[in-house]
Amino acid sequence: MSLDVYQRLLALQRRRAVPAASRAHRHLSQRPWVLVGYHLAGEPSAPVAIRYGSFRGQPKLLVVAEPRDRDQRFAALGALARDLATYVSRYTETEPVVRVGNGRDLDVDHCCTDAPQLVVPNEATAHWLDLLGQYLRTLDVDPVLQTAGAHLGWFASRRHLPGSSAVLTATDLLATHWRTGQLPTEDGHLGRLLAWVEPPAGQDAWTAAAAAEQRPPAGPASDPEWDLMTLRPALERAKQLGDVRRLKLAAAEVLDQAWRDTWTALDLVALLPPGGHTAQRWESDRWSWTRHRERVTAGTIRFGGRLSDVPAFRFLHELETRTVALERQMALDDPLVMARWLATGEAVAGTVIKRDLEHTATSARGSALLRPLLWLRTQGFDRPAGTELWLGKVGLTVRASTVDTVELMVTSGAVTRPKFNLLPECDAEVVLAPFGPQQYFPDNLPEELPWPARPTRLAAPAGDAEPAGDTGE
Amino acid sequence: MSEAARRHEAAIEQVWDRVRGTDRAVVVDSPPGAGKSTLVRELTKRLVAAGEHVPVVVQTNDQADDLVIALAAAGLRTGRLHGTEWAPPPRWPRDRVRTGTKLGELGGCDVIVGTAAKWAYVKADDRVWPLGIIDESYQMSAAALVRVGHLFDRLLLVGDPGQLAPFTVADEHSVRSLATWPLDTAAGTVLRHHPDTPVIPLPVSWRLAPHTAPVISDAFYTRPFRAGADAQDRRLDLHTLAHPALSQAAETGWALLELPAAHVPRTDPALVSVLADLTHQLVTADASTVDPSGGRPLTSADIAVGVVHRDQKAQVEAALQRLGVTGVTVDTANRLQGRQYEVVLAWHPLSGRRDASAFHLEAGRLCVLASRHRQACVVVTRAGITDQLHAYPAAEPVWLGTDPPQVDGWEANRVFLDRLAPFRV
Amino acid sequence: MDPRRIAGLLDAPGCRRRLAVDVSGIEPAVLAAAVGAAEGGQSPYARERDGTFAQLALARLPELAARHLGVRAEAVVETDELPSGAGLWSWRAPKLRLGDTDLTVDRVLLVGDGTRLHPIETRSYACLDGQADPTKVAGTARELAVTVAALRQAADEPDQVSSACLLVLPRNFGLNPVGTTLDVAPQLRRLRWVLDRLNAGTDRISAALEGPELVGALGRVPARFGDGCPSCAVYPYCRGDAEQSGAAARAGATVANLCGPVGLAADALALAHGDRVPGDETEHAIATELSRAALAYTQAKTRSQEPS
Repeated sequence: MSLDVYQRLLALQRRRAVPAASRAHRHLSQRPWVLVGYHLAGEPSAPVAIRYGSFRGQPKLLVVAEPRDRDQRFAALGALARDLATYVSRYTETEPVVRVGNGRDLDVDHCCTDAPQLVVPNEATAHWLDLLGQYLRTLDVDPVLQTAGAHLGWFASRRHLPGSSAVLTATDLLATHWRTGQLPTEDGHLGRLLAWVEPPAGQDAWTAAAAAEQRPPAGPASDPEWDLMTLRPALERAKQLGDVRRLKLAAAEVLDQAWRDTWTALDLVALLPPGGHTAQRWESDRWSWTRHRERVTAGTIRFGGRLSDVPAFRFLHELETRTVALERQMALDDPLVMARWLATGEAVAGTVIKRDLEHTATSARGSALLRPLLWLRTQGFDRPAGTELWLGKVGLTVRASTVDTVELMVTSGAVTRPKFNLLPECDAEVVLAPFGPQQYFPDNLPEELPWPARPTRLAAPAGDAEPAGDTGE
Repeated sequence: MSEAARRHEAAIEQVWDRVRGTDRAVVVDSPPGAGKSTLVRELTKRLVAAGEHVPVVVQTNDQADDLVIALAAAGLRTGRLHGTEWAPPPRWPRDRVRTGTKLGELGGCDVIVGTAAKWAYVKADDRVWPLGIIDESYQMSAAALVRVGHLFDRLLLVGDPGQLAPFTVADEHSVRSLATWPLDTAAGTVLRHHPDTPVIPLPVSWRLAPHTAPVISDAFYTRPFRAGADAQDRRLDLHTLAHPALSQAAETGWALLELPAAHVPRTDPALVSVLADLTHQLVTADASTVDPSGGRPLTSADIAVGVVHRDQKAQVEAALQRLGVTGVTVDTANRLQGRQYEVVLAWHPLSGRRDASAFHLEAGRLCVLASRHRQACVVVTRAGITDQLHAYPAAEPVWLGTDPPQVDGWEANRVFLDRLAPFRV
Repeated sequence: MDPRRIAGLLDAPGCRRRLAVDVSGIEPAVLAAAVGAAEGGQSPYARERDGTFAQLALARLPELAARHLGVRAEAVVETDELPSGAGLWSWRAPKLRLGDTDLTVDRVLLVGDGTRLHPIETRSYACLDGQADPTKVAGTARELAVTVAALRQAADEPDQVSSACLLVLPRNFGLNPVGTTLDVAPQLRRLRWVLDRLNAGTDRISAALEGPELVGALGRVPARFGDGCPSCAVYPYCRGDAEQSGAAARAGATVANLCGPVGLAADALALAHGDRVPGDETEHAIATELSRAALAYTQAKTRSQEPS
């Protein structure tokens, strides 16, 4: 979109990121669980060092002296699992919520008043935790590990849903709210991205970003040279002498940067007032957390592998619904986001210069229908007659336009006199958006897939079957 | 009967035999203008004659309306199942068609036509039709199919495999995390789960002319097809002096009009004004379209301008409004699927770009734009597309367990451009 | 050259600088030192894992060949020429050429189904629930395409070598080998096209150059900065180059695509702000787009200050 290009050009020239949002579009928890860490190169199930906690001044540090040793690995993951259990145990309080149930009866349901929030530096760390959760769930060793696996599974299930704030990545937080002048792929590097958004005093983004690249990576993959020069000797020492001090020091030193950067990202977004729909989206996370907790408590929680069958189609429906809803909500909440549609010409900003509330149109059956007209003074509107626009719940259609005016007819939302108060007065400044009221469609999926989408032969060829109960280790 | 007509008839009889047979599903692959609509109409007639009630699933309201008009003209008692916001198009055969938002309002109809989206919300009270027809089944996604599949005991799926595949607004990586691909085509889904399903290709395009069909067949289809018309059958006559691109296209069926190479924003105003000017010239050229059924004046309803993005559509429409041209269809490739015009002016998806993208390279997009015409197609673009194809990195993500596409977008674009070179103006 | 180097031609076929580096055979270490890139080494742990997995995979090949291609073979047999028929072969240090270029490969693994040969590749990135990192698989597919092309050149009948390869990856969290077939036909088509266009016209850089001299030579070949650049060995140099020159492309392909012939960010912004008169119709189009964005942004910033 052209606004994105313009902002990137501005950032490039100023050598500093420019705001792309003026509201916080993610919910920020009062008490997030922040986690940064490294795993052994190529082995996501073998953590080397993990730093985590809810307070930036009091992080916990776990190290694994022999990451490939199952017992040591489980001991470390056990400690992590217990701390995660303690953290999420804060989110058990519920409040009664009245909902319209089947028919017209009112149901009282209970929803957790708050939900846990996991914050990681980047996409790769979030993905790593998905895998770690999956790994823990395949193990049959310790119920604490299993439950931690279930919680990580909940985070993973929310992570891909647009608008969910159960898992935040610092890079996504910053890239949602600021625009840099570097390559979009470079925005995936937390240090570089932060250097653009908040360069140290006296430095421009180029210098700061170049310096950030020299610092240890934000994980979960460590620097190969660090592996060779620092990690290897430290692990050897830990293995031979049972002394993990050097390992802890080394790990604390390299993870410190990612830890601080992740908190800084949270701080920066917290300076913005929350967007109008942010709390509503967080409520959906809270409901999801409530259901998850109930299942964990009842022991009925199940995780399969990748979704297939009806749940796969349901997931697609949810993704699509949420993608559209999020885009719309962010634009309505935040003028800087709406500016994207103004820049492409899909939305129109202008001043109301004239109204004709008595105007009527003739229906197909020949009767007269009240269809008020509005005239807007604007700049450079170039869409054809017939274009549909919205002002909140009021739908309008473009009738004609000149270089600096647009004539619009109200077609819905305010076509009866009692609703004329929804129409803007003369001299009012308005922004007409390309989206109207939010629409929800039920997914309307059958309980099981119909025959055209189901194999004729139910059993898979024997050769393809994977051995059952294989933990993959 | 010509050789082409014989082959076409044979294919139709083959489909009919299968439909009357025991296969759970039958797939008919139809290249552009291969008589798909005629086939659906003909089979529906035969099924109704045999005493059956036939539900037909299409993908868009336009397609539903077109089909209903055709079925009603063939004398069938037809019902149009529609949503609440639907309004009948011009020339709607009000007296011969029943319409309704519920099945109950369509009693007495032998054929019921509705979009997949509408059928998905139908309350059928466990009614199962013995055979359902799905039109444009390569445009329909598995996600749409699973919402209507239970309504039919057997299925006839008809469609054009060269059109645009189903798409989603959702992030591809998230969707790929699923073990199935819910955006597979309806026909593809049936073929995957029921590999014994017979696939019958229609071998002849009646829309495309002998000189335009081979280009489309070579670039976009794995099963070759030919044109049914003879070279002398079709003619576009321009009675006033027109732009060389139009006279070239009138003469040969193709014209490739290249503006000077430039990297421009996608709403390239020069392209907008060229397309608007060409359209204007065409409607004022006193042109006539001639085919074996006779000649008649070319009207604006016979012309379409095919574009890639909605903002291009808006710009071209606005430019045409300024020139006082009305009645010409301007739309994106998505929405032109399954439609037919005498002349199409196409905005090449790669025009004016510095870097090609997977979206702009999609084979179906170019194929739709280049195969809607009966008489002539003018492809308008900035020069320099070959460089874009050359510079395009082979870096598309590869997802394990999926087959490479049968028609590769990059390759299709290259072949198409190659075949169009002789028609450069 | 090794297959990875040749496959590199597919990474950025539109960049003359990248092409020059690959075609001239500049040593990666020399290049890294000259442009000031970090030594792109591999972690010792990753190397150990690769080695262990390659051994495990080799031992399980007969089983995987049977499951995925229906080929019965007791064991992997050493060969010193392109084999034929059915079986499982390891061809060490094969003499392979692609066009006029010698291909340096330690070993090619092949499975024959009786009519066609399928190359086998083992990699140590994980296959989780049947899914692997699509970017890594794409990289593997490009390299396999090079191998397939070279094997076809060595074969009497090119068709003898199939583009459907067997890819062996560790399953889930362990090192259990799992196989999948990977058809590299699209990558092969692209490779053919790029190789056909590599000719005397391609820029060359002397492989003897080092340090500042090499940098100077690089600077004389035009580059095309874009989204894929961070994976390229010359990236640190090109990035600095783009920054110093004020190139709009520094901010990515979307920006470069919209700015078109207006190469400098400052010029593009001047068009956006009306500080520069558009030189031609193209600049005019760019100015229209960008100035609307500039206006929308400025007004939105004011609006965002108002209470919502």
